[in-house]
Amino acid sequence: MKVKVIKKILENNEKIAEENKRYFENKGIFVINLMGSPGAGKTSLLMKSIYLLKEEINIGVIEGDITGSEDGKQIKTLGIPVVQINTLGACHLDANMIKEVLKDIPTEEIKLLFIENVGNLVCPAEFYLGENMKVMIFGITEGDDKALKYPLMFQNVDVLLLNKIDLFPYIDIDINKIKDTAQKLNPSLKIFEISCKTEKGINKWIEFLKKSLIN
Amino acid sequence: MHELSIAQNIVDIAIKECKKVGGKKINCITLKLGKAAGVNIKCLLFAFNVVKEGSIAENAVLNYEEVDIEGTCMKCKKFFKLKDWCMDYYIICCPLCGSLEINLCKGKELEIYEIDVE
Repeated sequence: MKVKVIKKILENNEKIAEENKRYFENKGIFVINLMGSPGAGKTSLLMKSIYLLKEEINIGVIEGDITGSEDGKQIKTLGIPVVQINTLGACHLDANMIKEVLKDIPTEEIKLLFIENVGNLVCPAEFYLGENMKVMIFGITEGDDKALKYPLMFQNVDVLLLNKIDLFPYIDIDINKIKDTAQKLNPSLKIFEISCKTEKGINKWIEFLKKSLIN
Repeated sequence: MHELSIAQNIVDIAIKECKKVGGKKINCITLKLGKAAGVNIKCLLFAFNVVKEGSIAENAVLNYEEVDIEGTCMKCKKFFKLKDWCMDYYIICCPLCGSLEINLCKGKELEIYEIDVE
């Protein structure tokens, strides 16, 4: 017997993500899904952003890692509540993993939640978690051809942070090539050049983030 | 590797739909797969064979119909179809002016279209 189904395969993820979104909205929490390759600077960005913002706003973090809690330990040193998700092999976070830890987040206390996704330039782009903003951090040392090699991530994010610009004098890279390709793939993309190490450019990102919170 | 999650979802949805109509066994699952859905079909079939084991979809075959890409170019404003497009190119641009600023209306499908149950 043939049965017509016509169902989106990732519909379940979308549905749960929408529930997560409503949950966060009701609590008045702004959620950022932070993605990027392993070593791009996701945790460094969180450390800097939290350090610069924590006096003004209460922040929480969900850490997504395949295994271990190294990043979480680092972030806890800033006195911020951290919930660790270990995907145990999965290469990305999905909406259900977020849903399952909602009860562990002190939602009454925080107004901004960073979700640090699993380090990966491919799969996390496909899974909506219920966030308000998708942010990608990209180390310029990763090469200026990556936007053409991993277009989906560049297409699906709202913000691109080009990190490690302090290394610019030491590497052969055309930063304009990254920016041009990314902007062509995603005309509404907002791009910032930053260094988490020297803090160059970080303020512009923080200002942008604060404005986004108000709107 | 997200093909594993997709395969798991396919099996879960198919089993649910099969039970809804009182079916005991799934023989075949047919997908509609857009050419720009970013799914590697070989990986998907491999993952499907792993996740279906021990379920009522254990003997199910996974079929798929590919959906061609259609869209409008934001730059030259023209409508286009990409019939011969294959995943090897991956980046989709307007075939008329080469712009990457495009709106796709077809080609991103990732759907279960039909199941065959008994």
